[in-house]
Amino acid sequence: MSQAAAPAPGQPAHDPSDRVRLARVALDAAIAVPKVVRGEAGRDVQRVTVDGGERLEGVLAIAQPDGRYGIELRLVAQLVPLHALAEDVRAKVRGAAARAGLERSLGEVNIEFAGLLTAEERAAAARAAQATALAAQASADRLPPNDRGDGR
Amino acid sequence: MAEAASSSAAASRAGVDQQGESRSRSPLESGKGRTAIDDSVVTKVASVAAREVRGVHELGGGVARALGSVTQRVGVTDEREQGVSVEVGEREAAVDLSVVIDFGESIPRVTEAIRENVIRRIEGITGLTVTEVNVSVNDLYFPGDDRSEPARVQ
Repeated sequence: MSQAAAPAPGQPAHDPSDRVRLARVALDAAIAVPKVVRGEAGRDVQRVTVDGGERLEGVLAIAQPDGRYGIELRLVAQLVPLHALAEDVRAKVRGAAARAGLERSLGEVNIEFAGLLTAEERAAAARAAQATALAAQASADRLPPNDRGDGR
Repeated sequence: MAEAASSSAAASRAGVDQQGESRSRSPLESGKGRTAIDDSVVTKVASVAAREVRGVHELGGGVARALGSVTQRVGVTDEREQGVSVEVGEREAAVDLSVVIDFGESIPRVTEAIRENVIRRIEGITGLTVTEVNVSVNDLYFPGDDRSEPARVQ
């Protein structure tokens, strides 16, 4: 297991390449589109980009012969017309890339819908997340002050 | 007790997506990229659409439901994939469903309504053309079937 060298003083801790920046911009823009639930890595061909130790699940930026990067997004969405949603995602990704100064690096944007969530599934997931958060909070409240890891 | 229209399904669906090299651009392609739909998406849409029809009590045959109840408990499958099988190409999809229908409902009416709703929902949501929807009625549900019999001895 290799360990990254510490950045020199005055240098940014992490300076991602255009490929990684583009992947992050694309994923953030896609997830911000209403009716898109999340990105999903997938099982066989994983769409994951690693950005300074962080896994961006559901996006890959692939070098094209023309020097640009094609974006592959794998998304979970709500039960809505997917073709229109894909066009919306593409437009948002292009807009975000332009704002980030990466428009010239962006090739085609391919989108795969990996799953759908119904309204009741979203509600159940929200309830489960809330229950988990409450349980974690209750567990933290029960710990003695020295074990909280907050220095108190 | 089955209204199965799936005898020639394998033969007829061999034509799914084999329109030759001169086929026109899929509605899921655009000049700016390609859109792909995973099989599980079509499965879920078909399942939701079938359950929306009045008279459909449950999806899946007897064995599928028995196995499904076990696999769901251990988190292996989604209830919504029970009783639904799909084949998805780049532009077309074919669907097989097995259903349990409420006793007293007209089976032809319910199966036709399932077919119409599944086609409408899949085409509307995914943009794929549905070439066939085969419905197999595996059982009838009688009100009270879920109640366990009282013990004969105390």
